[in-house]
Amino acid sequence: MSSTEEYLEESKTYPGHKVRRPGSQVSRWFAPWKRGLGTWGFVLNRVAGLGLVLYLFLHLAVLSLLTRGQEGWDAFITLAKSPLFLLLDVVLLAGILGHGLNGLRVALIGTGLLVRWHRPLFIAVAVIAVLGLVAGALLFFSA
Amino acid sequence: MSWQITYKIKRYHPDQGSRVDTFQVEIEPERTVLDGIELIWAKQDRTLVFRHACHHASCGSCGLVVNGVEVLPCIKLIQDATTDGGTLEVEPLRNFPVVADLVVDMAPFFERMQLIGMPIVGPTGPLPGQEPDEYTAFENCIECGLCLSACPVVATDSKYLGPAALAAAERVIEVSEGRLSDEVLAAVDNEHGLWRCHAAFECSEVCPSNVDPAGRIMALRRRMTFERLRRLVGAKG
Ligand code: HEM
Ligand code: SF4
Repeated sequence: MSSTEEYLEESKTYPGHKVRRPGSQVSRWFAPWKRGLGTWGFVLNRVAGLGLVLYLFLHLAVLSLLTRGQEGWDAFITLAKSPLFLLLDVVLLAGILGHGLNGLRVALIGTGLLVRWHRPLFIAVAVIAVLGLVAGALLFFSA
Repeated sequence: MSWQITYKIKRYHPDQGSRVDTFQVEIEPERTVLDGIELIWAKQDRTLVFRHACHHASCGSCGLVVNGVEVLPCIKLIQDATTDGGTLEVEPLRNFPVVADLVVDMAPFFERMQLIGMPIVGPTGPLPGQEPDEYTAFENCIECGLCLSACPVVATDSKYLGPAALAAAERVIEVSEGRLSDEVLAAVDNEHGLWRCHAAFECSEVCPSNVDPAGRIMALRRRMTFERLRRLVGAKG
């Protein structure tokens, strides 16, 4: 996937010549298409990590309802038991399992351990995450 | 028997901006992607700018992105890149300034390699204590830059030292029996150095010389982690 925000810049190597530079540095990491398992791991890990940060703030905002007394909180709890909310809980669990388990994988590899096994480790992480997710979803919806 | 291939080539000229040009090429499937580009230049468009020299993966000058993946077009066969009647989308390497059409400015890459001070001539076999099958010689690096083009971290941090230079640093340290020179240390042990890598392993996926830069970065990380721990507990030397 090539960037659409390319721009021209004076070349440092060839004075007087304009070179074409790639665009924004903020979004260019999100390009897992045609890439290997390692990149998929990195991209999913980052998306999940950012999702968890977002969740943390949402969570704090929701907890602040407690300061508004029992009524507001009870109304929220009723909402939180609705199927749509439970589905969002499943998404949250996917993020936690995916990021946490892959985080362990990255930490291992980053310490120079099992480096050559990074692909099988990713598959193991994916399998354990899916099994955990199914178990969690069954638990959420049966409770 | 020849195949009919559509080449969609990304063009750039400072006065004309960017565009994609389409060329139809009749070519045998056993020939290379570079052969097709040379045919286009010879028969259809003499203004096409591309770079090549050796035609056998040792000069490292022809690297391109073909159908979304970094390759050396001089060794990528047409039949391994597409099918009869298929399309080849050809772009210059990513993460480098584009000088014209398919030619990028390699200077930022060579500057990084210079920083590490990797000697051009070095040992050619496994070092004492190294298993031959574990041995990935950095000396095989042809400085093609494919690893920098494929790396998602280079894409977002223009100061990142990048896979090849970090792998070279690990080799320099390895060959000097683990001694860390201050210059190499200063170049690699910082936020744009070895700690920046996110283990996407894309450099090792595309490296045409089996240098395994990602594996070398992880070895360097292990080395530096233990080095820091050693310093933390006050070990001398
Ligand atoms: C369950 C335990 C967790 C473990 C084992 C873990 C592990 C890791 C590791 C190893 C990385 C570096 C990944 C890389 O280099 O590509 C990372 C990145 C990150 N983590 Fe976690 N993490 C955990 C929980 C969390 C939580 C709860 C949050 C959010 C509140 C979070 C947010 C992030 C973010 C935003 C990043 C940066 C991602 C990036 O730059 O690609 N993590 N985590
Ligand atoms: S490490 Fe491999 S991909 Fe990177 S410049 Fe050297 S040969 Fe090319």
